[in-house]
Amino acid sequence: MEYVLTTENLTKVYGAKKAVDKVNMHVKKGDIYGFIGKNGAGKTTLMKMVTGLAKPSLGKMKLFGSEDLVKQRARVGCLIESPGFYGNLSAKGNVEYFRKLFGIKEEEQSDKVLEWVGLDSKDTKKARNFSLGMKQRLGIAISLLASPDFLILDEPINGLDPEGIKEIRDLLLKLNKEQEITVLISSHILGELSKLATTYGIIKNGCLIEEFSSEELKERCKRCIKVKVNDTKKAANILETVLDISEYEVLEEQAIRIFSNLDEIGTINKTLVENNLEVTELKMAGQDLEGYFMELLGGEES
Amino acid sequence: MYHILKAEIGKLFRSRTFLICSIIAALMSVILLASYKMMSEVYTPEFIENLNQQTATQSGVSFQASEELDLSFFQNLSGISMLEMSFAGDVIQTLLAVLVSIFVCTEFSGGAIKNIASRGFSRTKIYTAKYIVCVIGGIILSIVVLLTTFLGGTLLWGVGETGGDFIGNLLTFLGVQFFLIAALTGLMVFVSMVVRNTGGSIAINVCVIMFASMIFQLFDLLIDSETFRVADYWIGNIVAQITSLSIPSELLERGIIVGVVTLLVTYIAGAAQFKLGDIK
Repeated sequence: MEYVLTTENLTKVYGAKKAVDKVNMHVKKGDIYGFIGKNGAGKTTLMKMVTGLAKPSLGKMKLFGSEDLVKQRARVGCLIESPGFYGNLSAKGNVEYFRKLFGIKEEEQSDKVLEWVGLDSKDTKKARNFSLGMKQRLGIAISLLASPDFLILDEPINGLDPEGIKEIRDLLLKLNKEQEITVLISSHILGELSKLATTYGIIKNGCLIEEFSSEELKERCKRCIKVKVNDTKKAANILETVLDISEYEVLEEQAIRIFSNLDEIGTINKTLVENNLEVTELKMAGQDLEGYFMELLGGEES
Repeated sequence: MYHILKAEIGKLFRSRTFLICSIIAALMSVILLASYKMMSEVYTPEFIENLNQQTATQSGVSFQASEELDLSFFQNLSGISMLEMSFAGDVIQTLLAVLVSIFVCTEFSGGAIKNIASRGFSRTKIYTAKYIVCVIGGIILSIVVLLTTFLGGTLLWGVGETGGDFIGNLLTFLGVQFFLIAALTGLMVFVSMVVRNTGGSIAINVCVIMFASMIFQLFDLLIDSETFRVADYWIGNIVAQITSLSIPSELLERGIIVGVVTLLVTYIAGAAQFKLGDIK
């Protein structure tokens, strides 16, 4: 497996607070890695460490399999927190400035990236007068200037209107597919992220609690009957022998998720009770992607 | 490094702040010339003669006769004497403080520094490029003041005495003053890189220029030493003290030593702080 980014016990401490705590992250080549976490969970801090804007307190990381981070960062484009640009320059002026600074000889690259993000290269409006969405687009254009192999975007669709969100989503999918750019993207708009991401990482209180693929996510979010009983082993036996249900999984917290016979919730309840099992909870669950993330992040349970 | 430097130089010359500072530098020089012109008309040889004998009142201004008052300077004004006085006031230093603060801190407030630092450029190179470009800005501001005062002074009173080793003295004068401005710029870049906030950086840098000399003089009064004065080793004072093309050797040596120390200390400290610190 070829990884674009791997971290090993990556930690960042601010005073007494661990903003990022022993994170082991794995971003595979070709991934669109959706990075999810509440405000202050450590997403931006981790991205800053990867891009060299913040020094790790502990731990190691590799970019493109190499520990020579300074060299490899030339292959990374990023938009961290707010887009960085010069307010007194136009979109073209800004992109041209950074094109020269990055040592990119192809002059047409400026127009190309502006076209990608839907900004007019002939517009002389100063960037300081841009709307929030236009500023985000400019930030993304600058991050794409040097034809990066790895794109790190921190909340890139903040401030974009629905049309803009779709354009950026289509652009990222296109870049990922046609130019094989690996993307690490954080966003609070989970629904939008789910239309893009091929892999997810969930960060909570600085700790990366889970990494899973979009296929695994679909599996986890499958509609099911969630039943809480006092004896899961006996319940599982009854499901198989009496109700002929084999598609289920036993969870740790005295619960079982049943993936078939979803329209027989009453029969399942009756059968379990008739077999002297104490049913404390029985409900339809799973399904909703946002709910699943909320559950992982410690919000309301689905 | 080459690309950063090229881009930074381009940014300096497109900077409205730099243009405004240059215009203010020229205007302040014109005001200085005008005030010298007025004073040269007030301090006539007769006025000075009277002043040396008694308290004199002319044009509504009172003076106490004193041996220390050398008003004959105003009767010997020229393009060269005005050029020599170019660094005497705080004009160049104050404008430089404003320029450096805005030029450096805008990078942080606008977030553009993140684009540069995250591209894998060495932080030391980024710092060095910023420092070099600020030095270029400072030298250009100095040249604007030098040219305005020299040309204006020449128009009003003629070029002045160019005898002796004029070219050699002029080159030494310019070389030392530009070097001291470069060292002073190092201090300002260091402050701006640490503060990273435009308003705060302007306030600190301008206060340093305006009050450091006074504070050191107060300190000297407190220690009351006849052999050592801290104020003599403050770079701002040395810049202001060099007001003659033929610089006394003691002042020249002290200026070079203070300049080298200031430059090295602020550059190393600033580069290290920028290298080790996080960018928010």
